[in-house]
Amino acid sequence: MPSPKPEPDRKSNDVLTAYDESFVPWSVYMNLQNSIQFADNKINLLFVIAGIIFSIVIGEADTFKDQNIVYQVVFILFLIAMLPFMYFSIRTVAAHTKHKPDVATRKIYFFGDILTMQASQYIERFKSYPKYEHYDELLLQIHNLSFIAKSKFSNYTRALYVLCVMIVLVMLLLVLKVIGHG
Amino acid sequence: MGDEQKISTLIEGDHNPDTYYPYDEHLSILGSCDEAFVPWNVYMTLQSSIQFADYKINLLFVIAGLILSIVIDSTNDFSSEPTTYKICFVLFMLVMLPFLYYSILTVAAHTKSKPDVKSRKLYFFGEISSMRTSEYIKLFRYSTRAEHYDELLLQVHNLSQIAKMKFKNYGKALYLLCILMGILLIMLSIKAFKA
Repeated sequence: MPSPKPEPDRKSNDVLTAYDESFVPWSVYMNLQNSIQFADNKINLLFVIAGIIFSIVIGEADTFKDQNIVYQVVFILFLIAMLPFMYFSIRTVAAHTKHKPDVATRKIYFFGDILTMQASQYIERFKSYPKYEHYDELLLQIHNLSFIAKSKFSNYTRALYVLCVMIVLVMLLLVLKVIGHG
Repeated sequence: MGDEQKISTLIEGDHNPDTYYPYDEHLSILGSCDEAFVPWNVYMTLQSSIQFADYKINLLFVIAGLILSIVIDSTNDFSSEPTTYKICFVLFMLVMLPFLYYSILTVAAHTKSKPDVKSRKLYFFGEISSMRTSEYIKLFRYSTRAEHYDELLLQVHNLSQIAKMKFKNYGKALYLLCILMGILLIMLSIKAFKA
């Protein structure tokens, strides 16, 4: 049974008659957006875990003066480790593309670019660009998103490793506390 | 005219702004509509599975954090606890280490094996960001549909490996968490019977 969807008009340059012929780059674009959101969700969870650990350690701060020097050093190390964790977490959340692409943007897809013009201007601009310009702009946005995704995942991994160090330090604090009691 | 010869001819005439340059609509990936719907669905499903494994391990992390905080709270009068309690405590700390190890392996899983097919650097963000924008646009456009689909299938293979590693390590972390919970229950029981 033939598809009810009409075939795209190959000869037309109008993007509004293109249907889903650029299915592949759009799939790549959506997938990258999804990956970026995923990195954000992951870092939010690390924040929650770090919050739990931090509240455990803060609960122990009341007895800080009574503890031995090793305990105090590990406690301070934990607080120091918290700083790069915060740094990498914030860099993960706030990642944006810093590089300047060597291709000029047509300002038709990214909301920051879209809002630099009036609605009527945007509508006009979107429709005036032929299909090949739309596709090149889409590939430009894929390149930009790749930079953001790479930066996010790289900073997320660093935050994760620092969090592991923090967990080990908490366990060490616990052992030192127990030995102190013993 | 062979494909490579055709491409080189088209590169020379690169300034002609055609929708599907450098190919015609039948060869260009931009003219392919949703014919690659099936491999893309497999790809998306795998991405989704990987995200699912990550959510699951994050939940285990939160549960382990809560268990650890309970254990920490119960160590205030550690010296007066019986030896069995102390042994359980040491066991708890020892089991916590492989739990952390497998949890981190789950979250940080990535493909280690070198595929026997060369990547065309079209879809993975790490590879895309290694080139300039104009280079990427050119590479994307100059890759034929067949090359795009082979690259997609290569990515499906890579993702499968990541998903397998994630679920394998997640399974191990889950079993260790069960052991941690068991030890915690024993510790609490010892405390309760002592009282």
